[in-house]
Amino acid sequence: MKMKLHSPYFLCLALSTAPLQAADKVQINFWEQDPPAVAAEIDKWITVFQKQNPQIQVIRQHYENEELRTKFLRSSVTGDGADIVYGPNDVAGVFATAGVIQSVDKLIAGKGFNPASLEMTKIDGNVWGVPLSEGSHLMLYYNKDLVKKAPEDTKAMLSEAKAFTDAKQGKYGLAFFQSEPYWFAAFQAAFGGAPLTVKGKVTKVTIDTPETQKALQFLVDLKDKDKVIPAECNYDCAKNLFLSGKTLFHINGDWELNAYKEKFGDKLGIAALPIVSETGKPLAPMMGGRFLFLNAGTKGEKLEASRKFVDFVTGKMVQLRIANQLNSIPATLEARQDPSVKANALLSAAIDASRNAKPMPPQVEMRSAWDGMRIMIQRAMSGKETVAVAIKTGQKAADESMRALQKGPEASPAKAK
Amino acid sequence: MHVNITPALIELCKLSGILLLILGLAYGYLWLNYKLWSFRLYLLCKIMLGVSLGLTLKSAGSSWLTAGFAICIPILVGCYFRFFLKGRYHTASYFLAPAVMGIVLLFLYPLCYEFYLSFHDLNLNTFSGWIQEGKAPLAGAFGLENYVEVFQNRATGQSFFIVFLRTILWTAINLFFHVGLGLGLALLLNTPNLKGRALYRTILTLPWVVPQVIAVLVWRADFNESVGFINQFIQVTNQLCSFEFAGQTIAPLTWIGFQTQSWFLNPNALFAAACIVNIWLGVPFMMINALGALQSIPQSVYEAAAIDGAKPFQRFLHITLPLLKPVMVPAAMLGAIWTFNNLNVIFLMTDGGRYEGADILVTDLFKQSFTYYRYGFAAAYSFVIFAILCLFTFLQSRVGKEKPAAKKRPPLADGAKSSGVPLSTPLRSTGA
Repeated sequence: MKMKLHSPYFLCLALSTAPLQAADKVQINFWEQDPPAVAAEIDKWITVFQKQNPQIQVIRQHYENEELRTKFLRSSVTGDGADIVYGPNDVAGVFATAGVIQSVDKLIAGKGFNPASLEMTKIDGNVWGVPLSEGSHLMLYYNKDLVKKAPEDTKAMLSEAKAFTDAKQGKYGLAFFQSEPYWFAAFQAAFGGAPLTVKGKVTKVTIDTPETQKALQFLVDLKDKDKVIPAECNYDCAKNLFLSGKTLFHINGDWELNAYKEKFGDKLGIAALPIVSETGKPLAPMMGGRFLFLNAGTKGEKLEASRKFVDFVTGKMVQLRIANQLNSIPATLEARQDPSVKANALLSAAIDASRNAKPMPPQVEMRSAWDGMRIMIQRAMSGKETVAVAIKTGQKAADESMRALQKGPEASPAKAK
Repeated sequence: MHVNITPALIELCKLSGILLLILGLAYGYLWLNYKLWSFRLYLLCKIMLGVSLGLTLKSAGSSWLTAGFAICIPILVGCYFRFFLKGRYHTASYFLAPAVMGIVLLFLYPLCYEFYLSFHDLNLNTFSGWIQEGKAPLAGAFGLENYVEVFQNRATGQSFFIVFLRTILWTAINLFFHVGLGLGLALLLNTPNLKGRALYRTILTLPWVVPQVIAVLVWRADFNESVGFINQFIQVTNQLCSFEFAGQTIAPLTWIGFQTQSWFLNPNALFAAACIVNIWLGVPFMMINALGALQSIPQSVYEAAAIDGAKPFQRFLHITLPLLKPVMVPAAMLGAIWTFNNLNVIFLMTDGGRYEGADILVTDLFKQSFTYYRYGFAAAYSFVIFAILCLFTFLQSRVGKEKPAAKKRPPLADGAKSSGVPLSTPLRSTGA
């Protein structure tokens, strides 16, 4: 009985002394936004790292995508944010412009990263994120039971797709998230266009161009002229059509690789997006990746500990685990040349499919480009506006949004270096 | 996997300790004020305390807003004790203290902060200055630029007035159907001797029970043009029930105006779809409220009216509706405010803002704040929305204000006297 009465006091004592036990360790707060399977893998890296560096403690904290972004920005004001944020490349522009991360030029020197990876977070000549993996590029998925060989060009693809399409039975030759600009960017590139042009410190959204108009016309024709895609199809719709065998070809990102592999096994076909017959250029998707960002406020021994952790996860051991355990393309060229990576058929196919991919521009103005292109695609695909009018509407929306984003003193991420 | 809960427990203990400390300080402060309020130099001391607290915070790096807040609070508390409380209401004050403190710290201070922010140009480009120096430049010459910009045209078709009118339409349509359908269903459920009432009530309450996010996501799938249930239902029904008439094929659903749609790409259809979903979600709340109010009306009132010769519609008009009013008016007002501020349904139906044409004020505000990182502008925008809601609430309270009872109350029918329910003169005369 006496013991029972005393137990809360022992608990309090134990809790109050706990911080003392950890006091001699340097703690690094590490925030990520990955699914549980990846988070479990990260925990393993942390365990090994902490064994190698007993004086450093890494505290992993999970947040959802948008939450990670807004919470990191908010916590930078109060000074209790993460020391390292592990997230997609598209946060680089926001974080760098807001001055909440520091450049990592010294950290990446001599590490043998794929140059394209570094381009994804390079703004004003400085690199703002340490790449861990590449990916998020679109690929052509098909079911080998229905298609013997991946088409080389759009002419061949459309001919097979037309033969397969039967709208009354809900069967379509091609399915993808057709109103989303991330998908459209691949078409735009195939016609020689780009959503953003950066010249020095001047960044412009380039939607109202002949190239974009041709690309948009091609997309609209897929629906109205060739009739190989549904009248409307969002991400889930396209995925479900592919999973249920109601589409011949499916354009989706490498993030679905494992799910599709599980469903189709050896029958899953993966290829690079085909060449547009009209231009002779391939559909070139954008490529992203996962990066480590260092808090601008992290200094002293915490910064030193963070650097050690970054060195550890960009080392060959973790890079190979990224490739073989997570089926993601490692950021270092050394890891890509490893026999175990080359022997991974699924990963090799993803690497091969990424050959035409272009690094996604890290500039914060991409937000305006996405929004403008989204409005443009929706208006053209719904028939509300002609293609010629829609590109002007998209440009206008993007310019307005860009004015809002660029408001204030000249934004220069360099001031946070 | 090894999970270490010690850090979480430590944080919890720390938080509890801080809360207890704040509560203790608040009670101590209250006790001290009760002891000293009649002291001659009491107010002077409060002013000195406020000023020194504010200046201390300012010298520690806080903004003038925080410092000003710290200066004002002790002075306001002093005035309140000296001129209003005058040493009374000890018990009530001690009970109210935690709630008041919570409101001041968690609502009033952020509100003042937001107001301060609305006059400043805090965005992505000025964010680093905000972090490093706690300063953001004034928005325009007098800090009013954010407020001016709220009313200017923004990205295609997103001018304030279009979004505002859409919000009004959205609120009106939803409120009309919520109250109308809710009341109708409640009347049906309130039918005397209705068998299976509990079962019907459970089924009808389901939309309210299902988490809103899940319900909207399911609806969104149903509205898909190619594979969604709604379009397929229209197609199949038309195919099954179509008939030849005067040499033409009549598809019944299309004939009465229901057509397969690109629900997400057509802005009007998207708005209609969002309304349908929100009506479906909101009816049970009004139904439960109306049912509760209906069940509280004494049966004797209806019996008395029936004896007086009142017909069912007259009983509904002169007994049910007036007695429902005290419950339904506040419920409708709450419903209007919730609908006006309903971010979830529009946000999810537009796939996080992907599809244009259905934005209402709050979703537009959300976009400005979190998509374009315009915090100062979003603060001004939120105050404009706040002002609109205040105006509506004020107008509603003026319109719905009861006239003086003596003038309004008509003579009571004999049968209704016991319950004090007013019956109109025609009804009384009918029964005479």
